[in-house]
Amino acid sequence: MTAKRSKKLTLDEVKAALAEVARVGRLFIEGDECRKMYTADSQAFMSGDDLNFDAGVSSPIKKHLLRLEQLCRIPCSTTLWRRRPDRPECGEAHLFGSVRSFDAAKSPPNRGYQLQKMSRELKRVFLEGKPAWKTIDSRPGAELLIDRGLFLPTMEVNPNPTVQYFVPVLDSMGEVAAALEVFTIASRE
Amino acid sequence: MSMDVRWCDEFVRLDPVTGKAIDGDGQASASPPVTLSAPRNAFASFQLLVGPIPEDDTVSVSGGLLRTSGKSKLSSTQYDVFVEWYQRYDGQWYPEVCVPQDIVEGSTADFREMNGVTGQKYVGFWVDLFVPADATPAGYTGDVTVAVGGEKTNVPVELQVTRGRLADDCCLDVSMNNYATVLSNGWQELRDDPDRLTSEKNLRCERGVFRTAHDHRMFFHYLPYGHSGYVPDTFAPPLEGEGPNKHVTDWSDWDRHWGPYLDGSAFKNTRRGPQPVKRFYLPLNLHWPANFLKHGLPGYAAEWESVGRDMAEHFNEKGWTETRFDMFPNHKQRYRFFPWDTEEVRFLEDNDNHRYFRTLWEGTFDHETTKPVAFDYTLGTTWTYGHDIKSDLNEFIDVFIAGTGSICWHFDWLPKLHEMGRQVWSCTNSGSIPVSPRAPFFVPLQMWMLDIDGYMPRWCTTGGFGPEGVFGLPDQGATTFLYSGDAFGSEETFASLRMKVQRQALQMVDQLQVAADHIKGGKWAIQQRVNKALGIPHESWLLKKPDNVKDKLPKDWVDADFATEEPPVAGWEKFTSDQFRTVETLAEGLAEEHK
Repeated sequence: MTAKRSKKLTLDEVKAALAEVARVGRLFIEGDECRKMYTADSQAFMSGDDLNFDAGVSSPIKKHLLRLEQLCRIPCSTTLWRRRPDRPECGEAHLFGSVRSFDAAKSPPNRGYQLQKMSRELKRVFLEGKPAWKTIDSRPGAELLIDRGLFLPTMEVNPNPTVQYFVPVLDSMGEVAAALEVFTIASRE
Repeated sequence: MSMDVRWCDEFVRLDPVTGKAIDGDGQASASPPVTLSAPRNAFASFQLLVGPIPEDDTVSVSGGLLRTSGKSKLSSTQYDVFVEWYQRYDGQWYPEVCVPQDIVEGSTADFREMNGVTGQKYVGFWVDLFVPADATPAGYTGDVTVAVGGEKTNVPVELQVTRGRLADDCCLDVSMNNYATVLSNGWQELRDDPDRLTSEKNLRCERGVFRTAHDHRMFFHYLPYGHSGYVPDTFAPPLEGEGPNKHVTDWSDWDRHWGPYLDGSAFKNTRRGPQPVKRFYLPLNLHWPANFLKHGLPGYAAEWESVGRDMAEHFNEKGWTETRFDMFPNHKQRYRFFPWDTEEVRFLEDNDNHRYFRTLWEGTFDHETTKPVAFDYTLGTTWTYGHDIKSDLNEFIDVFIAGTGSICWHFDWLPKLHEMGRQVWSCTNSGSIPVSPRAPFFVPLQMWMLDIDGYMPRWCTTGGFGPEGVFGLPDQGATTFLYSGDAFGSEETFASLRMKVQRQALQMVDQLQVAADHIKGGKWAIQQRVNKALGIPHESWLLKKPDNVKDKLPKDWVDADFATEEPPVAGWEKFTSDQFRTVETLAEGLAEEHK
């Protein structure tokens, strides 16, 4: 992943680039398939050992996420989120593109897995069906991702805000089946 | 001088406040002379405890010339002296970090203040005496000199060099398994440097880590990619092209970084000498050399074949034929980057991914295609080991890495796998810092007695690697065996005392192997001698198979199935240090007899 352009953009331009990719992603990612990414008996997993993808369903979605990242005019990464079917007030990262979302834990442990209530952004997506922006300065781990090229020189930002955009992915019944997150780091330099 | 100098071997740990032995087991230090015995091409090691010492005095140890009654000598330069640095767990201070004396100029008042052992009255040293391969077998005598402030005292050393000679390489593959880029976190200057991966300091520090592992008959095994498939800068050569035209564009940076491990030059000036690293992980994974977007398509296979051919040809041109190059698929579903476990599979259908990789592997990386360069398909398999070894996977997997238990439950398959040219390793547990030195000592013996080909002392051996590591570790050090020298302003990497203890055991099993290679009856005959010395039947080494292993698929195993699992009869807790010493003496005698 490398910075695709050296000219500095404005923050609005960065957001526009992410929004464009999110718009495409919503169309190409099948909500019905998102619901089947985990096997039936793994849907309510509470241990990392029990997490089990249906590879036949998930592998194409993984490729969609990677393609979206390539489509974006700026360096970005993607994450799909889900609501827990057993605990619908909770949200959980489902599948990552190249880089894990800043909002997601590394991996569910084998013991003591604590489900997280949906964030404000995920609530807006899953409960209201609306997109949501999130911009936070100086997140831990941002420097490591800047080293990996997940950044874009941006005008008038200080210091290095992460810019995240969450959009609903609908299933065939028009229900929100997943949230697609597209994110980058708007770097000061 | 009013203080005392005591000595002990690797089984005894001495408290820096009281001077007493820590681990029970009837252990105690002894008065000089230091009496040692070692084969050639091996370390004879011991510990010294000096004290009570004046608070402000510097204490140091220097080795002297060793002579026989004839003309043979061992130079004082064969000594390496380490000041023992202590760590505290549950109120007890343990000698743990072996800090090279020449870096800290002895146990100084500043050193001890930094260590923070309240009421410290005694200073510990670990001393390595390397016996060269061409040393004359004989009895040698000499002194080490202990200096406390301005006063010096000579401590006599008696060394019996036996006729046995260790092979240059360990008979077991001992993998210090770790994950990039942990070493770059070891020094604060590197942490602060955004270009650390390409910095000269990073290279120097990394070299030190590999050398420390090398001199302990192990190898640093550095997995060069993360769960996402990302390969950090310089851990893979740059690629260009698509499909059958994909190729390595430039080997120079990669060669400069990794070549010295593969031709052995990175290990010049180590005691073991410039031998190539035994094994080396490659960045091959779901997302390298082919982009995952092409997974399952003809272009993915074409890119594997093309880049694989580049690698095999290049490694052959460079003469890197003594190292075994590992592909180790490490992706796990729980990290949510890819939809399979490619390691530690629990759901058997995930092994279809290996069957897919088989089609890429054969004809590109298999031994027949790439000889004299050797690539191994290495599989971490814990849950499904019993299924995997009996399935079609055994037709192409070169190394199976499992838990010791799994290997024991299917012990009848080990000879069959060996006949097929497969290796089996254990990813095991060599003990945390508070645990007796018998724990790390036991592991190599256990592996050798079970005919296991190699092991990882733990799944990770740099868990707490960093500038702060010497001051305390997560898991009480269970996942840390190496220490960055950053706290002492050094770019070197220091061994833990547990690592030195384990090396003593590796030297012991290497001597058993020397005997096994020469005696009628082979390894089995020697194993019987060990069992007799320990007073146990051979079955004692095996773990009993739990019922669930027979009755249920791995995906249906639960914790309760293992709650009443019986430990093996042979475990480190079941033997005394004296029993281990008996086996050491036996090994030395057998190696001498059957050299």
